[in-house]
Amino acid sequence: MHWLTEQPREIVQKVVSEIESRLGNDAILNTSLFEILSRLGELESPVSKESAQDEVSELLAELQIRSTNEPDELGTTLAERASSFVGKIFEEIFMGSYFPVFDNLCPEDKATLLNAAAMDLRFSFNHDFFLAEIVKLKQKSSKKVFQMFCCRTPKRTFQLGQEHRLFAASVVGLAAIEEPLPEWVDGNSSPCVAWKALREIFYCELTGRIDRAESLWKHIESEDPLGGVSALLQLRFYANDPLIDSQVRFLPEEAAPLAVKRLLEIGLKNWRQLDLGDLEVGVFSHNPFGMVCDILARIGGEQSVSLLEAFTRDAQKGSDAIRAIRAIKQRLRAVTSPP
Amino acid sequence: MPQNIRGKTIELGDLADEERKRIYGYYAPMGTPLLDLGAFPTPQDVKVAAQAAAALSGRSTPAAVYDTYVRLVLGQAIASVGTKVCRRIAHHVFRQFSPFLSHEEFDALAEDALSEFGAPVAWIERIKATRLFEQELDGISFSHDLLVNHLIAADIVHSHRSNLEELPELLDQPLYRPLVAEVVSRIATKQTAVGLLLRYASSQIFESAYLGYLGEPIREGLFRFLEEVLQRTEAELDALELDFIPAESDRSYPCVLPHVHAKPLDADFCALPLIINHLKTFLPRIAEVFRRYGDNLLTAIRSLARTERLRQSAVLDLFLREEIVCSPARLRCSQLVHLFLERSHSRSLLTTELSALCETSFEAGSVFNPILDYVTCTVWERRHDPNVPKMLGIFRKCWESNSHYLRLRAIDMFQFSVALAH
Repeated sequence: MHWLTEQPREIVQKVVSEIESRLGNDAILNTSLFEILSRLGELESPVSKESAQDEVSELLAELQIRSTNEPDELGTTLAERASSFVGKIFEEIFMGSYFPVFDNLCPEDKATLLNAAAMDLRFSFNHDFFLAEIVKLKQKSSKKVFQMFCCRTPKRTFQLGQEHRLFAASVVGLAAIEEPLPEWVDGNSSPCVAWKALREIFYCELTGRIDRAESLWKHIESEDPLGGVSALLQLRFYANDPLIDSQVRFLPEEAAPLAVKRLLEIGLKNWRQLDLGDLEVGVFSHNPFGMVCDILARIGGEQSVSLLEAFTRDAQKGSDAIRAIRAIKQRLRAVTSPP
Repeated sequence: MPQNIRGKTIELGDLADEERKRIYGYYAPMGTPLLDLGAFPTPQDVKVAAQAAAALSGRSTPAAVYDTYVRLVLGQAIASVGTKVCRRIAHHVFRQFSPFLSHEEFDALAEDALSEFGAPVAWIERIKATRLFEQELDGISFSHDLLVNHLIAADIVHSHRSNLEELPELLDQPLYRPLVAEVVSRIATKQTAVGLLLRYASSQIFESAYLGYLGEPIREGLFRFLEEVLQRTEAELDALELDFIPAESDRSYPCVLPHVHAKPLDADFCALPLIINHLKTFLPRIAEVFRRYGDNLLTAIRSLARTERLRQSAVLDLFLREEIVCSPARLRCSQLVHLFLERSHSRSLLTTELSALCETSFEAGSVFNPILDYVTCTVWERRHDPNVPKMLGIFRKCWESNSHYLRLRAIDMFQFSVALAH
């Protein structure tokens, strides 16, 4: 006899009785108790599949005639309703009814629903999912959503890096549906200048128009080099999140090694002045210095070595710097050694 | 040579770890510990290392094996001076962050060293020709980074033999930090070695010491330290007092925190994962710590609830939230609970055998013990052979405690159990 669900019926029934007897006024505990009952097959979803189907059909019909962020008579927007509908596919009690309905939608309807959900202006942990799904669906109808999330510099949110992931996913999405980047609506100061240019570099890489990238790198280096280092590290980190699109990689050091090397070397010279945004938030640091070292280990040269040497005695950064120097020297040696 | 009789050149790939271990095991005596066989790239190298270990008496450390290996490779006639020369060259390449030296640089370094040690310069070629080095047209490098590390560690200890107290000045530098284990294992004075072990405490170095890779004296020293940590953990429980901190302008919620008489050492917090990693050995002691923690906590809660006129379940929840549910823990015993829960969740800790042992050891019977019951829920939630009556017993105890966090834990016990089954 193994897992709880494989126990004799009377034993499972004892657990069910115990759980049911504990249902009370606490919503948090009740939710968890209901989840156990649901998994033990002792709870019918409060909403049937048919009701979920009716709900989504009505929602899709309304989305054809009304704006997503226009409140109805109860003050609820279609975006909020769409977000709530898709969110229920993750909730144990509802997923049995909502997930099959969501899953069976045709790509166009699914995109319409997710587009609306993504427009929900309230914070949610599900926005990453909405965008990632929309990217996969590659529907022209998602153009506005993508453009909304990549028209300005990503800011810090409660969920660290969320705006950055949405920014990156949107650029990927626009490239996938062959639509242009939106007008930049953010300022012209650092790091906005760098984010704007990097957005285009990423888009150029995705669409294979890398000939334009060189002038963009020069623009970053001359106009906003420190913002460029910060934006490069952040976009590179969040764009490579497999949740966005496991096929997409943003590794600019491969397409433009010289430009990236120069920029990172500028970063090393001015490390203390860098604002590394969401990459360096107290205990949640993603070790951006280590990222620079990893990149330079692959593309750095003598100049990188001499800049890194300044960090070799630093208690925090020393070991990364030493590792990078060793790798660079080994690579340079392999290049210069006789056959 | 005519083409048709020229032999084929076959390049052998690197040996896999398992292959190295098999070769090593064949030539080395049973139980000879060796941390990393990476320094021995070919079967012949591994055989030499194993033979070197066989020539050493008792339980050899990797340091001793490497030293013997270097001497064997150099040959008896030049072993002593050759080793010193190699150490010096190793230190030089280590500082310049590259194992490669041009022939001129190598010869100059070796010549200086040989002259200093009163040996003939002609030995340069003999040293160079050993398999400690790889020669190329334009230069030479050590055949493996680990050889460099062991040679430098020996050089450092030798050069500091009369002023060991100055070693931290060197080992504090990031460049030398990776060598701490190698250096410590070569220090003859147990007190100094153990002192350095604790100064540069990390889970990794403690694990090496625990397994005896740094030598028997250090292993003994670490065991003594672990005992002291457990004693401090128990002493901390005996003096357990709780402080109530009301909500203030900068914090919107009240807290119940343990009164910390003396902040635990970093080394204490590095020792605790080791204790949890070797749970089977320490289980009776850990169970005792958890039992006393729960008992003493209830006493402290009663006292605080009386003084502050609070419900006991509320005090328990405020305490659990700060010390057990959210990190970082302030007390060693809380850190033990954290580590136990964390490792159990990742399933890296609890084998079927161990979870059965835990279940018995943590059995609190019908008496409510907030710590034992909390960890026992975790033990049960991952078991695929549930004892439902026992689980229901723990569930009821947790529920009737009126503590929100214990109720959640009790729910998790069934929730995970059902989720895993799915």
